[in-house]
Amino acid sequence: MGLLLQLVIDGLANGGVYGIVGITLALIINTKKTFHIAHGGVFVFAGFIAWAFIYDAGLSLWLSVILTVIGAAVAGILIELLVYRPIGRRSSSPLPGLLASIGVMYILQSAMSIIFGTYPKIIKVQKTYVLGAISFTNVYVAAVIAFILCCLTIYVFLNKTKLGIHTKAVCENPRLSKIWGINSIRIEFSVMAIGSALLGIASLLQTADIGITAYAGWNVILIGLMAYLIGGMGSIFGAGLIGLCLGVIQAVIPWKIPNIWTPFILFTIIFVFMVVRHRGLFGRKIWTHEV
Amino acid sequence: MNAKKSRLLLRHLVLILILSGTLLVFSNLRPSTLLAASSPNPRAALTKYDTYKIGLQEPLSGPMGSIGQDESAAFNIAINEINAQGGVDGIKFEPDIEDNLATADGGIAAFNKMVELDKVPIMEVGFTAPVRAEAALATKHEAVIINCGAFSPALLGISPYLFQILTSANDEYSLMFYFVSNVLHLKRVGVVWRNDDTGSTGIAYIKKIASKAGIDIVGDEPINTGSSDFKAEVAKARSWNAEFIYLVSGGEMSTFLQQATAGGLTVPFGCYSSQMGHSDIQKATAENHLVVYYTSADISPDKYPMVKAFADKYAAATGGQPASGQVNTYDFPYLVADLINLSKQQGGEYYTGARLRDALLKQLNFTLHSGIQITFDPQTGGSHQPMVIYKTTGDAQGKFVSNVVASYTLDQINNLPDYP
Repeated sequence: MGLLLQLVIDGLANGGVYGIVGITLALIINTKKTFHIAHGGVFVFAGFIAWAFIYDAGLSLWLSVILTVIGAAVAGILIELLVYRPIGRRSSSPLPGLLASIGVMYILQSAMSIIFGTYPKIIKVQKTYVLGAISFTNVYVAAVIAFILCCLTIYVFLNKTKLGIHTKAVCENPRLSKIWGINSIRIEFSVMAIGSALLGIASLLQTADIGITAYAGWNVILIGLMAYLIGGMGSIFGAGLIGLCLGVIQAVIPWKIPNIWTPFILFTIIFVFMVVRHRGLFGRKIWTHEV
Repeated sequence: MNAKKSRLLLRHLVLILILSGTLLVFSNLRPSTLLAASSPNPRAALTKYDTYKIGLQEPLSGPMGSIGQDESAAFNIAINEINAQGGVDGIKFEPDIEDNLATADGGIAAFNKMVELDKVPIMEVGFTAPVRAEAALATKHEAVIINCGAFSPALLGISPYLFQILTSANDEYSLMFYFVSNVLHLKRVGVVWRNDDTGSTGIAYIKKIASKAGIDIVGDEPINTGSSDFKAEVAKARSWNAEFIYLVSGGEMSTFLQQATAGGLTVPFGCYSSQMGHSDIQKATAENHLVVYYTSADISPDKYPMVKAFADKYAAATGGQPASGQVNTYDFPYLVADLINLSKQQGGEYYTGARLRDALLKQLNFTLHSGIQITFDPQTGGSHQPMVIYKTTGDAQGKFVSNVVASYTLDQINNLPDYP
């Protein structure tokens, strides 16, 4: 039982990161109606610049956190400005945007690989606490707290700010919101900035926990998309909750079997789930028409 | 109308037959055949050489890219040294470095480019998957592969054109388990192994020798190639209550060590250095305040002054310390120079894969440029080298102390009590 408890605790730390990825991805996809695969590239970019701020520039941890969040937000804005907006002007199909997004992810990953090499970069701020058979670090605690704070931030943004309420309107019905005079371009830039900034925190947490590699983006985006699909398209907080749960499930699978089986079992569960309940857990019935 | 239709059908049939015939003819032609038809026979034409083309295949990109970059640095140091001295009898080496991505497909693509297009007769290849995939091609094209970066026992004897100047992993396992049992007196050992060719053959071999060495394998856990999150493996390794954890195969193992301390796993570790490299082990040990024992081919600078000279150049180029794999890669162009000189004595077209192989098999015993003695096994293409065991200890300040704690000659290795 000690091992199981340890795996659950490990899973919560991963789940915190996945939850943030899921909730930010859902916010962006629901607003822009584009599968934002480049989110994985921003994740990798944020992790490496955080590491560079601390170890190359010698900045303090907290200043690096602030600069990383800003850097990730700028990356999101630039992707919107240089990729999605020009493509959106030329094509109404979501396919070019999706392909461009995959391209951006590869570009960011390759750039990080060229600049920083392929070995994992880790921010050494971990303090380990051992309680009998259980061990956890301060980063685990930070991951769970950060997830809760991210959920609260997005909740406040969507429900208590004018920009957020407009964002919900764009999510619900982009055409109608345009007729009502809502500036959807401003909304999309804002959502890219907020989603990417919060993703920067998730990336920082992973870099401090297990380290960041140039090719970590695919894994993260895959889990984020799964969280989005299972949570239900349209449900931002559902994606966050499922991201957290996926972290725990992924960690618990190797309790009795080798961990190399985890991807197979995890994705089989997800596949079966999607076949049985394709709307996801919290999704609305009309999502296929909307997206 | 019917007659018209019939004529049309007949025309189509004839056209299809012609096209099929053309395809059939060209499908039987290998690219080499096509190239040979358009260019003079390379064997006949190149009796005078402008340069000696020499290949290096390593993963230069992807998750294993750093290892390939290290190997390239070692290779280039040797090539530059030889060429600066005028080459081999006035003919310089022309290096051909290709990215094999550490995969079978990547290796085959790199091999085909090197052999079919660039006409490289001898190359160094790293990593088990590409070496294994290219072995049959090496036989078919009579191109020599010298393996300096893969130590899976599964590579022994699979091609008459494949030779290894890297200690087989089996030697390293036997030596370490003998050491753990008889010197450290630790009996409860857990094994974390990479789920690849080296790892799976390694764990099978370790399970066979552990009981002979009086060691109880209390748990083993595979990890996936390319993984970077080892929380589950660390948690499981902790649950084994092992006295010693042995890590089979390199690559991700330095990341595993990084995460071990955070996961509360602080028992002594064991591994082999050939793939991970001394500097990575030492860095991970220092940063995580661990104790790591690792086997290595004996490349002590005290015994081999040329290793020290190379290590200084290597440090200037990469900022790191060379592992035995890098020393062997550095030795590779010098070994080729020796083979050229041997082959040349027989006259004729001497710089071909077949002639270089003959020269190697004729001599078998070589003193490499680093000073290390090596003997090739003509049956398997494998080789043995003297070995040492390092103990590296990290401290709370993030520094490490690394010492050789045991040294074994070739005779001792071959006569270990539990060596099957």
